[in-house]
Amino acid sequence: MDFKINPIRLLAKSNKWQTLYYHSKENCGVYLFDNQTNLSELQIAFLQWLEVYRTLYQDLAMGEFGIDEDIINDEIMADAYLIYKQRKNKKKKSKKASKEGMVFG
Amino acid sequence: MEKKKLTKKDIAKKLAEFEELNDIEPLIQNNIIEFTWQERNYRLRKPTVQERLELNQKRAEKKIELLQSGKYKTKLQLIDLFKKQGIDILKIDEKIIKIQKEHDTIAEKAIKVSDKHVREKFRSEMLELRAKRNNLSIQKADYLEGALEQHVDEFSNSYLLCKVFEIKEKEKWTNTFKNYEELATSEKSELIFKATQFLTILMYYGLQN
Repeated sequence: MDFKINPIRLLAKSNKWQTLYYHSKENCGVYLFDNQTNLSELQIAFLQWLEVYRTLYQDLAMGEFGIDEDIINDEIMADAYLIYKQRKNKKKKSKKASKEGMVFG
Repeated sequence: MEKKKLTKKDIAKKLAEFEELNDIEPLIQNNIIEFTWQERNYRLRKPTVQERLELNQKRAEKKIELLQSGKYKTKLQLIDLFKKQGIDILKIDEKIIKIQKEHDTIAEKAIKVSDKHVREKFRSEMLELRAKRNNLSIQKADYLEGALEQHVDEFSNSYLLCKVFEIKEKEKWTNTFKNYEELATSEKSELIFKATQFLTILMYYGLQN
């Protein structure tokens, strides 16, 4: 089945943009865009993808279960990892909430 | 490890991707894209706040005009009309949600499994479900084609294009089309299509992806 790569994700994942994003977050005087305010919808979406890939690379560095370079480089599998992580966090939260319910309920 | 030999088709596909990347990167950086068409320089820029406000006003006026004309049905009216004919468009949304849940369950399994072949099988299933979901979205859009909202969107895109689509003449940027009427009757359909693509990415990308 044919699958078209999303060029925005390809850019956001790149070493160049991840480095720029890191330095812009660290207030090193690096700015991602020519405009500082009044961002376009495209720029907002791009920022969201920069953050998604930052967390994926961070998870990889931390040795989190289920992630490797191949997963990051495959959009379908990267999405799958994000879904897996979201579901895992949800389960963790509901477990915690039910535990607290047992204590305080 | 043996590397897969790239076919001509693979290389063409890759090149197309990079061409798109080269187009998109400057657009992200400064909200302006410049391109050449038939040896003339064009550019498309993000609308100013003032232009957006003006656009909202024009959209509202167009919506009222079309409603008053009585010629067009809104999306909700079309949904009602199809329901009377036994086609429940809202059921398509329910199917999409069901497919998404199925997709997410497989996604979770694909990450948990360590066997590469099983993972690949799950990946193919996810791709199939995505295709199914996209087909349903297209089906829904087909049913709602011609709705009043679509005409308002088309008018709005053309109106905006007049404002933000510029041509370089004697080292100065000026509007490519003087007004909406000139754009609507122009025969430069290929040029307008290219500019509209960039405008769509710039203005609506985040809302669709």
